[in-house]
Amino acid sequence: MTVIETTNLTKIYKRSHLGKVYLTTGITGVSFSVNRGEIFALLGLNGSGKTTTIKLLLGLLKPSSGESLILGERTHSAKVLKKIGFMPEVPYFYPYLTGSEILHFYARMSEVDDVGRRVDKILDLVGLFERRNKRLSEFSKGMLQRIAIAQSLIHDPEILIYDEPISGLDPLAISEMRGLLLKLKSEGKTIFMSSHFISEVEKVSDRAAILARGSLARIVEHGAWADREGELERIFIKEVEGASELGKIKI
Amino acid sequence: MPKVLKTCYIISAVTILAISASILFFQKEFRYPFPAVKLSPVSEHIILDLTSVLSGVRRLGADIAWVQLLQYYGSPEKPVDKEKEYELSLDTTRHILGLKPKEESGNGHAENHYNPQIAGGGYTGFLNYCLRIVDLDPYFSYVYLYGSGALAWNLNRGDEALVLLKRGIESMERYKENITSDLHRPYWRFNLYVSAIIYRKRGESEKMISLLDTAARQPEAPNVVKVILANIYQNAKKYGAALELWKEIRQSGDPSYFAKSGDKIKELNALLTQRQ
Amino acid sequence: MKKLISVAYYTFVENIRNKIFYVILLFGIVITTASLLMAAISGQQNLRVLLDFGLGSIEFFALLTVGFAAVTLILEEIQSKTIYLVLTRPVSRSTYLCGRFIGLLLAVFCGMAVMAMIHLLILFLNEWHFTLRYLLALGLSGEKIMVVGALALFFSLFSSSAVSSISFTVFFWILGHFSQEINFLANRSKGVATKVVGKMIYYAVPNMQYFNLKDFWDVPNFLGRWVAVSFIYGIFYTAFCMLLCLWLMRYKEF
Repeated sequence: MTVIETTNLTKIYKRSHLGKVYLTTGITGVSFSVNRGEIFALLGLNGSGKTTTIKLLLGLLKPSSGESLILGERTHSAKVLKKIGFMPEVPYFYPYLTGSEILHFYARMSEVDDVGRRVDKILDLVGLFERRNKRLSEFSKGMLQRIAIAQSLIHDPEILIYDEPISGLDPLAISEMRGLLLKLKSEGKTIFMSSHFISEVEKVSDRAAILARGSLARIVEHGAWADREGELERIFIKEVEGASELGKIKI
Repeated sequence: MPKVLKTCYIISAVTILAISASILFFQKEFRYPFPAVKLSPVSEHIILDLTSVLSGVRRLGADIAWVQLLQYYGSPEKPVDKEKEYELSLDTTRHILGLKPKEESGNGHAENHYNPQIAGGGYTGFLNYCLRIVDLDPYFSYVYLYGSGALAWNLNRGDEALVLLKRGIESMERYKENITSDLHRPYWRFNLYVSAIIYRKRGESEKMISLLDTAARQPEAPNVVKVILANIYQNAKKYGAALELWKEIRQSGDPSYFAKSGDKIKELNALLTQRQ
Repeated sequence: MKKLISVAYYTFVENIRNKIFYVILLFGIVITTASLLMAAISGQQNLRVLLDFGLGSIEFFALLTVGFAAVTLILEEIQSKTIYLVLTRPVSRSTYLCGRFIGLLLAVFCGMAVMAMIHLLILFLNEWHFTLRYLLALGLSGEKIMVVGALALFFSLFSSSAVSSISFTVFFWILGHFSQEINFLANRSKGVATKVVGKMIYYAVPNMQYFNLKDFWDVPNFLGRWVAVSFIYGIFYTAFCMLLCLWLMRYKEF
């Protein structure tokens, strides 16, 4: 069953300066679908349109043309948002609230029943129960990442949309995140994530889409890289070669 | 049209109607009490006064102007020696800190009014300072009474005093149809002072003293008027009446007259004892 | 409604815990107490000076707080991206915006209440007699702060720049206090264009004098039905500004 579907999704940014309008293409003509219970990865170089795609799915941006549907509905309806858990690339929270308070807040926004019990359970799950009354301004990066995971799961969503979930994590945290993603998949959740870490994508994903210069270059099935270490990276480099705006490093 | 958008349009229409209705109501019922802003008659404070008006704190601006008037009137116009200046400033500091000023010397503010070598014809900007205050807050009724009293009896400029009082009466004129106890006092008192000044000009001192006596008995009568009356009584050898007035002045704790009132009480007690 | 209350509550908590809020509150208390010095050199008008300085500083520091906080309320959230984790939940933008604004106002009103209590204590210690007019004047100051806060929020969403938003807010604050004079000039003006512009400003810009009861303290017989209508005017003007904010927020992309 299709959970996420995009059809010719296009986003062109308009910026006006001193009467002149500048157009920048974010993504153009991107079409893909994500099936229930799979982990679908979006790969691409910096500036290829990964975050733009995610923002379009979540309704933070409006498409210039095309459409995106989640569970058959337009993505910014309250009914759909209730079923989505989102984790941004760099989590930012209100600095003067504590870990417990921020989760209480998000739980109430997501219409969770029995908020207190649910918050305690999630804090325990991410290993922050002992530090629940500490202010977020005093949290380390790793702790903030855990709160980010916690807030994405507080309302037990069906679909998880993660933007660069392992960016900036140490090897131990990466291993823990990998374990979490596989566990969530085993619980029947659908995970849509963007990433630079191809080796990790190889370990957890069922399918991967490659973006290059704002367009969808290719969708790769698990079978294409299964049991062939480094194969996804080779496919990726082949698709994006020449797409980088930067010159090559001369070795 | 989506339901949410429809609701927003309805709410917008309702708010605009409510705001318009309020504005119409205000045009009928709200009469802005202050006159149009004009340039301050004290040129060095134009910016301060304009800032008060633009920030909606005219009363506060008038209070600052009042303090500046007291500072102006409290500073000797003619140069005094450094020691005297130090004594004058020390009196004020002692009062601020809750300590009583020294009794013997340094009469502060009052010294400049009663020393004919310092006061009497000086402080040429006094009327402008008063007008500055009432331009900002025409309902600061105390200023009309204080200013006219000082101008007429201390500085011997009765005509300027009448200009100030006339301004006060004009400010109150727009309310005279709605006379209540709130209005009655300032409006009536201005007329009282005008009469006293006119009697003084005509040399009808008995009538003038009678009116000043009435003025001094009003609540919130300025100490300057009480001082004037007390001096008149003392000159007329009515030491008892003068003593009562100086006791009232001392009780008010006004730093301008605190030390002077102490001296005067001692002096009048001595005179009363001598008489007996 | 529950979500609105939650957003308001956590915004209130966030603002109350903000160090800048405490610094401004402390300054307000210091200035209110320092008015004792001014009162000491005011001759027989010490009570009047204490009253005016206190009410003036309460309003001024509330203005500072609400102006800066309202301007950064949404702008800072957009820049820091904390807004992502709210708008990607089943919360409408209107609920979020109204909740944030109400929470901010509650925090500012708390600050005003603290300063007012200290001010009243100082007044009572100086043998001032309490009058209901004080509460009315304070209430109308609060209305003024609410209108200014809504304007500041609108400008921040319109211009997306904190500096220009604060400048516009201050400009409207001044214009609002000056609108009676502008109306006077418009009435007297012979030029049609000047008349039209003057009248437009007079009717469109919120007339802050309707909330300025603290300035009309000694005006004879000045209390009347207009005080009640001022409260209604303030609420509806704020509501209108919030509708404009919601309209801007609807089309905002993050």
